[in-house]
Amino acid sequence: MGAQAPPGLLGIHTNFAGAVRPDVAAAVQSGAAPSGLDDEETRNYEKLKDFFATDAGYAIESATHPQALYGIADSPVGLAAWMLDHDATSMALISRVFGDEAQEGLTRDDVLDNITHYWLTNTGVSAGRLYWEDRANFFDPTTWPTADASAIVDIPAAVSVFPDEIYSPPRSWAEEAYPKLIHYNKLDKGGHFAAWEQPDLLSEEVRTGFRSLR
Amino acid sequence: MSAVASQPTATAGNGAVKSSPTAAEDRSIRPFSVDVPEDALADLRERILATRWPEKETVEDQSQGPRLATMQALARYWAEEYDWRECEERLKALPHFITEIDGLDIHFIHVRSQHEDALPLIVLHGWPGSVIEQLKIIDPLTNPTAHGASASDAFHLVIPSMPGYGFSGKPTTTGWGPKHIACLCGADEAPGLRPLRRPGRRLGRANR
Repeated sequence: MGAQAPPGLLGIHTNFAGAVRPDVAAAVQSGAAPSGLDDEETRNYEKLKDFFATDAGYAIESATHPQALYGIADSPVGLAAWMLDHDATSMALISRVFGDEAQEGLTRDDVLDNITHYWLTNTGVSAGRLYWEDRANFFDPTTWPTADASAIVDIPAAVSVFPDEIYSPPRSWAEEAYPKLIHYNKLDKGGHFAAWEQPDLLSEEVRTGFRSLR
Repeated sequence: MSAVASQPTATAGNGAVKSSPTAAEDRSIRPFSVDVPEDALADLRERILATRWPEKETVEDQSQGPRLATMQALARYWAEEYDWRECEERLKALPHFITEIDGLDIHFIHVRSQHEDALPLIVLHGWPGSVIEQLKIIDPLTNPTAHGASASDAFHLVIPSMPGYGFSGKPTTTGWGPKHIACLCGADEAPGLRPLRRPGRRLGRANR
């Protein structure tokens, strides 16, 4: 939406920014780290490389053969396992309430409300098909996670960076991806599902991020 | 999740982003209520209890995917203790609507702030998210003074279910990728901007 900038759209906020620097994105694919990365950029390069190496299977299956996933329409446990299987940090964060670990953030009911909603509407396959529609971007880290590498978000953009996200774009990457960056903040806790897991932090980010547009 | 703020304006978008409804399309906004029949919940419980399990993973961590012990704990809680009706009550307490865009039913929650100059905001989810993921931020954003924030930070919210997700319709053809979905949200007749462009207008009336 930011790239399309329909009339009346004042700005966007995201907590999953499409801001992987192009040379880093290319390197994630080729396997050789670009020279000159600072520590923060190196950490992000490593996180992205790990994600594509070991954790992106769910996205690749949905992007190629979503119609093979009959099992998630037929078995609640199959659907639940498929929905838990995300990047390693998210999977751990969602799974931990069913083990013995601390229960900050999501509760068992939170997790099952979402899975049950998918089950009752039988939308596991139809929802995952979004990856098939967008398949180029899930195979090609050079255009991931930006929907269109050539798209420029030319309206004001606010970016919140949560530490357990798949990657945590440094401010310089966010400035490059969003020329009209009006807000950039790194949070102390929270991950890919910030509104669900850390609603107070996310709400405050949205308030602060858009304040200059009022 | 990403969120977009839009400015109420009387100007109808007419550019490339505008979605063009077909002549046969019903552009009304219909109220929608969540009501799951009891037999669907009974069927779910029976299926959980009938699960055929694979063997345990051959590693001592989650590197092969969700662990057997995690899934068995989840299944036990799901079948024996979990109550969907509690979630359904939270959903029922919110105003739900469905409207047809490009031939597909799009479901959305629309919560207006009591603060009339609140900023209109569309809240968008991804996989494996849903409107469920956004429920906890509705009150903090629409009713900020109850959460230690200022009335000048208030938002009016539209929270759609993406095509193929939740209570929205499922596409029967290809061409429903992110660009198309973004067009839906930006279109003048979209649930995102339609009720927001003219805050004084009642929902339920097509904006033509």
